[in-house]
Amino acid sequence: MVVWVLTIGALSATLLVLLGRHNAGRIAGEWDMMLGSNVLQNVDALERRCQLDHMMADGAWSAAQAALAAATSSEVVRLVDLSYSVLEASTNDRITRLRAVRVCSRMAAALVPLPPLVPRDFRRGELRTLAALSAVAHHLLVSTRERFVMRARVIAFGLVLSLRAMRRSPPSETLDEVLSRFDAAKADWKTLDLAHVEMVRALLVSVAAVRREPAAARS
Amino acid sequence: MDTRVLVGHAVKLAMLAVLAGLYVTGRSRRCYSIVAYLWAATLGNALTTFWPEVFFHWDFWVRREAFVSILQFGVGVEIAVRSLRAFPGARAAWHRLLVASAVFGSSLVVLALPRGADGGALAFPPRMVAATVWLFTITAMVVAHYRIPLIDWHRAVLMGLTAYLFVFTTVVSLLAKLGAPAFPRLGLCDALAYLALMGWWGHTAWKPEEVWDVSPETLRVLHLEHV
Repeated sequence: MVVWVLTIGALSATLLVLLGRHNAGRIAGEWDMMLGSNVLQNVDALERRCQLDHMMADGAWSAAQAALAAATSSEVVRLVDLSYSVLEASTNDRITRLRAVRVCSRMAAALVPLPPLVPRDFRRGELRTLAALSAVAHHLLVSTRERFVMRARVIAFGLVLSLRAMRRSPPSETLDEVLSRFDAAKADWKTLDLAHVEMVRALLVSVAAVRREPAAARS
Repeated sequence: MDTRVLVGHAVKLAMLAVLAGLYVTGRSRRCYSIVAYLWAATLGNALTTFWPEVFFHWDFWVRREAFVSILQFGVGVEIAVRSLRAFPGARAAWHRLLVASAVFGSSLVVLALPRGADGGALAFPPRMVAATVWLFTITAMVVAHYRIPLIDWHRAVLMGLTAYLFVFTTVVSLLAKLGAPAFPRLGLCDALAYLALMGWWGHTAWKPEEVWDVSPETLRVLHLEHV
């Protein structure tokens, strides 16, 4: 009898913890974002925001190039720092969204298959290696969802790697070398950012397909 | 008047208040088996409190508990079916877990435990309760993993019933250990826990349904339209 009491106690505790943290309003809001009629507008808005981030970072970068041509190194550093700040702030946003994408991928009955990241799309060696490894893992994994989740993790990790490459400045490097590395890392960051938008779009399309199922079943 | 009879009447009134709340707010259509369960529990309570000389005895209690346990299990099934009907992936996972649990659980009960070894008639309720709580827990796990929006009434039913069933099992377990002399005191504890459960359900049944900032189209697709 004691075994039953302990079993029921453990199960009850699990249930109370799970449902105690359940916020139906927030979850329904997430579903609404994916099933509502404005799904495509949501993706378009995200794409526009990403483009804006790219433009801000590129603008600061162009100004830094101009300052380099005018040989004002302190201004170059300030403008590169500005470009970095834009990308750093955006990286947190992207990582949070990719985490949400991973969690919300459970909502879809089936996911749109996405191709693996291509190494030649990246300029930095570490990102090329990461993309190559993820491409191998892509073919080893079985389900589309596993590949989808792995892709989200790889993109998030790649964004962190790119940001770290932008931040690093060994004393042995000249300003030209630092700027060249920053430019390559920024380009990789943008490639990963576009891949992240593609993931959000794939998820929304996959989840929105659920609502067509009943109609398809009736037809 | 005997305290137990007094608490019994209070529980009866609380159950009627819950039922009234469910009918008035339209929540009765959210889960028919909980309504059947509440009517059965109210009837059982009325029989034992109004005609104790006829119905307040061991055999009736055991039969009533067995019947109520089956209804509780039905509540779990209906809530799961209703909550997961718009989510094919989650529903498939729930089915798989349920089948695996049924095979594993029944094998465990049939093979590992000698029949009637721990308490005779008292052996049935904890096993049925364990099956019910396991069903609720599976549903809760699927709801949490697949991020299924669970309406407040279903959530209150699952959480409240689970907490009460734990108290009930503990009481039955102590009864099996201490014997019939402990029945009045333990029965009172059980009745008070049940009264607290009815108080919570009454509060949930009467309060207006939560309004989510979600488009009507999404609510329709997810079968979450307001009643």
